[in-house]
Amino acid sequence: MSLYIFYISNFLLLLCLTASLMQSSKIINNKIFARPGVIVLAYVQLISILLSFLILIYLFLISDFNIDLVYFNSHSEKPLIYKFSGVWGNHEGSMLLWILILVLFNFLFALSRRISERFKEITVAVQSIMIFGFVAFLFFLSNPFAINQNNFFEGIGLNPILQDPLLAIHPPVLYVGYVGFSLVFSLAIAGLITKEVDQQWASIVKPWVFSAWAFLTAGIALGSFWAYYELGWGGYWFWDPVENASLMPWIAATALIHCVLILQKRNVMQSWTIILAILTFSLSLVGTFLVRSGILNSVHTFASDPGRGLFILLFIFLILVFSFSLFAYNSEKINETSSMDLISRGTGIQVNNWLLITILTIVLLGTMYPLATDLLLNKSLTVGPKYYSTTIAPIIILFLFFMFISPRLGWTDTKLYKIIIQLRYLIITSLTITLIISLYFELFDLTEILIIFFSLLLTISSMTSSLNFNKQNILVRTNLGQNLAHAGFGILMMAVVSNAVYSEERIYNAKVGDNLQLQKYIFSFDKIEQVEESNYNSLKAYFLMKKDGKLIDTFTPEIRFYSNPPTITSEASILHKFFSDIYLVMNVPQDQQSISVRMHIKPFMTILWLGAFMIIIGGIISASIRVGRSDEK
Amino acid sequence: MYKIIKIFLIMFWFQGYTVAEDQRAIELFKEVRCLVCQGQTIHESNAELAEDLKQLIREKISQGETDHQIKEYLVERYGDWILMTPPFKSLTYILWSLPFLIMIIGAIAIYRQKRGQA
Repeated sequence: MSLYIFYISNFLLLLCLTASLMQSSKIINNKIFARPGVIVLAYVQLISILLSFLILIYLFLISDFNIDLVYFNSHSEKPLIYKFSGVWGNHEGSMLLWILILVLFNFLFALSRRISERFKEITVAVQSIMIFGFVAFLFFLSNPFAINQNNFFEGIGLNPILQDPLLAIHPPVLYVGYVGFSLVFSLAIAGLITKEVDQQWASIVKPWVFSAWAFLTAGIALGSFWAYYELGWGGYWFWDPVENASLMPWIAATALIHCVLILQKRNVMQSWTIILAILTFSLSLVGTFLVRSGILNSVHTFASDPGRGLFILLFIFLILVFSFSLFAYNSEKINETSSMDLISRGTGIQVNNWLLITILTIVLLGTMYPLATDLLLNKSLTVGPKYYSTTIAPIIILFLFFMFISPRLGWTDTKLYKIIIQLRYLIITSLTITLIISLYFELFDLTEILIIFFSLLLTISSMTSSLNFNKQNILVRTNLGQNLAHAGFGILMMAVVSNAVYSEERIYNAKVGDNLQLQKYIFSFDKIEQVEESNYNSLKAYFLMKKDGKLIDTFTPEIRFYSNPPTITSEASILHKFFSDIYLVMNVPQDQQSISVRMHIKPFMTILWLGAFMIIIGGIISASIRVGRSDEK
Repeated sequence: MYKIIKIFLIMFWFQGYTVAEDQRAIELFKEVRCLVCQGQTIHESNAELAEDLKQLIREKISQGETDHQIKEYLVERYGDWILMTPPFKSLTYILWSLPFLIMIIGAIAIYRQKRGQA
């Protein structure tokens, strides 16, 4: 049985390789491979990969331990959903998922209308070169269908920290983001080859780049949310190399979407847009694969085989060399116009583009610097969260200011003082609220005050400009996506700063019967229980939270002991309220008498997630609006 | 008006404001890396080694040492690695200054491009 599956699935992979090779050959205008057409080949690519992915899912569901991958990453007693999500909880399976999305984007683009036939052919050809590369890598270096003849009765199991419903969807969402930029990259290369990087090109790129960006944002937010309640460290962002690896393409992509918008409206900054498209995809590749190479140590590191790491580094290197030499060769021929007035919306976007590049540099430096000093000078360094917050905070102030003012400026020269007079009520309101907040909460740090002030200004400004009534009191069609995302960013920044300032924590060693205090709440340690579940045993503590003697809620922090493979995890117990979260987490008991419990008050967490959610929805709205509104005034 | 001036003064003098020893200790714990855990500070960890370091820092505070002296002592004993935030020294010049260089280069480039058109 396994042997048949082995042959069928490998045949499917070879079929996809052949189709991709034929598709790639269309990059040169030739007669030999004129048939079969782009769409037929795209169907073959999609169906072959989809079938092999379904086969892999089937193998995991029936727990066929003659397949190496299933043996190493699954266990028959695991709940069904984790057998399913275990398909991409490992190197080979996640590679196949990555390829499936790559092929899906290729297919969807091949079906899209109103694009010149030649431009489509070249884009699909570039995309197919990548498909070919990755399928070859999968087939030769990390074949998910490798079999063994050992007839194991039981598998080794999935890392329990990955056994979580959120983590079942986090990787696919993140991958749609990463891989979406592959199509943007292919479009950029096709633009370079046809020398048509213009407003038309920007309109073609816009829905793809916005949807990829929205998915990447959602993927990062899901990962952050997971870390918040699963890792039990009480934080949502740790500036861990793996988190940074996903943040870097996000920053580049944020710059990119704004460039695509200006290109579409004003036909300027062609070269810079192309550079950003190449950069974003390269960082996405680094994001997914350097993380896997074993250089960075984390749950994301599935396989550390030097051969695989080398292939990926080589691949990234080739992409960079190829695309930048094509760029150097052809960029002269691209019609570059860059006329923009000094005080205009275009300049504002340009400045913020540069601030994003600065932030990107900081994240890159912070991530790579300790690796570099360790490797080159043999000196170890730690670059902790404070490095990022102290260097990024002043930039964020400027960034928020330009985010607030740019949409208010026209595309041509605008008098700054007129705008400020026009917005006087907005500025006074924000200033008053900031003063009240800082006096009431005794906030005296200038950086924090400024961030709160400009975030407020941005949020209120974006919200009011989406409620724009004309003289007949009819709601004027406004740029809802942009306003929602910008307001969301303001809310996110306010929540991040206030959370950092007002978080509180207490660590106690507690015995049953103890009463612990955190601000105005009393926690009574009621009892501790042992619970047996199908795939783990757990130690559950019960704390009754009381305020003024009244019972409000029961907290049940847990420690889970998994046996396949043996791992201990700590489950936090969280009460989400609108203004603050209360977060209890228990550590492995030091002795029989007492347990160590950590309590956090995390203000504004719900608002923080709300801000992130608004950014995602804003991105989706912008992706689905086909033609940008011309808002010339 | 008097109150507002007072608040502004507090705002700028806040750095010199002395906090209770406990609070100072906790702030220091958050700056020191736990040697046996993965990327945690000794504040977040309750490993034995982390507890020892916490005790050491508390003692040094009560002996009247400044934060700076305590950090120097730790770096001498365990290396730069122990501090969560790398100090500004020859090894980290690039780390701390490159972001600001990049920002300034960008500002000059954008300004010159605009002036060139005018």
